[in-house]
Amino acid sequence: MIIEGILNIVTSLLYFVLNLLPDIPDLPEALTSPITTVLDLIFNNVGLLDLFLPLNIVKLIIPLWLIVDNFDKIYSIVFWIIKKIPILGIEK
Amino acid sequence: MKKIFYVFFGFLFFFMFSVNSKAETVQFKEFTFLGETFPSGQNTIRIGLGAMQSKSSSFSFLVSDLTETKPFVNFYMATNNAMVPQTFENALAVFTFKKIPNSTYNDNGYFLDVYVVQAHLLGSWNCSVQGRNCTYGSILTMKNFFNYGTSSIIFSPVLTDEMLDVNDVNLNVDVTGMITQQQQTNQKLDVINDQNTEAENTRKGIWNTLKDVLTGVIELPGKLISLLIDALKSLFIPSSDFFEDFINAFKDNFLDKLGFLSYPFELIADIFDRYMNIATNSVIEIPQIKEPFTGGVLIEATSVNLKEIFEYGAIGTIYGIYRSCVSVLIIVMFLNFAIKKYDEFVKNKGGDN
Repeated sequence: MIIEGILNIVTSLLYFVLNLLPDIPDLPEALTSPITTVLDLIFNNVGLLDLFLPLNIVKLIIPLWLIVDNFDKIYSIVFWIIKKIPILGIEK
Repeated sequence: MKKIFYVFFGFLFFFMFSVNSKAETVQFKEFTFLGETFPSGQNTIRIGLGAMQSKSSSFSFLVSDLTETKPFVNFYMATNNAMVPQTFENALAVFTFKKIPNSTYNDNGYFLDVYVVQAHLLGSWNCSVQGRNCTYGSILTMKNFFNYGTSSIIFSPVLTDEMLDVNDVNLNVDVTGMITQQQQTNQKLDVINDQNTEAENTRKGIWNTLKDVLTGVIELPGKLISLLIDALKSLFIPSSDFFEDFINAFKDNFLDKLGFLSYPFELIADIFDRYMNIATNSVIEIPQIKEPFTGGVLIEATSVNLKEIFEYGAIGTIYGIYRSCVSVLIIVMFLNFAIKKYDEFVKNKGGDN
């Protein structure tokens, strides 16, 4: 209830500020369609890689690789949050 | 042989005696008692007499078919006189009364004693033809010697050839309202049983209520703790639908408002979605290729399933080994990378400390 309340207050304030601003137009389709075409080309044919690389393993490894590669940053963020909780008494 | 003869005739005499001993009854076509006639389809009449009063009227009946002499008229009489029923006087019939034990007649809530009455007919029948449409009639006088009014109900009269034995009286006479004392007792017992059941239910209800109260008291601490935990949970843990609604609202209000500025976020979400839904595909579609000048087809449109080729025969065995090796290689490379990152992380943290 508390967390929900805080998030609702924050988002309400954010929406209030955003509503004061004018609506920003979307990116023109002429710019988005090439990107979409490239993505379609890649992801519609990336399945062929499964012939040479087992994609089910690759799909698991890539997120893990990203987490491990950025572990120091994730660690810093988590500890930055934990240090903000006074009841835990973590200073370093 | 002699024994068989005796047994055969013994059975024959027994059978004949049984048949002859069975009472034969004749239903009246019309029955009049003290001027009251049984209507067709109804077998009860009511005779009322005031205190110390008497009533004289017809006592007659009509029988369609009377082939044999049947000197007795039997009927039932329910009366509120518990001592002796009203006295009948008739020069052509002798009336006898027998109280039916354990039997009463429910006359609109008043339980009357039931008597079986037998009229021994002394006069002669008057038949239009021999044995047909025979009538028997006289004047009957009924006296009430009591100092209160009496009410008598006459029902189920039959003409019979046999003296009536009260012990053989069929008490299951099909007359509405006639019930035996056993039935009365059963009704009373039913009422008592209902009362007992109600009392038992009340006792059980009280006991169950007390038990529920005690159980509630015993379970109160546990319930309080559960309620406290649930309250804390509800305070700090958002409901399962909250984040879904929150993200949808955020997307609608924030990303849509930002327009092209939100496109990078949408692109990342799109790529992530596509990545999560990558489907393995081993079929290559080859389009039709035509010669541009004459329009002749150089290569027909076709599709090639590479996986079927790779998994065919001896190549398939090699292909399976290759895939296993590649899988292991990828995992080993990832583990090696993780170890290196761990060493690097520990070294940096050590340096920081």
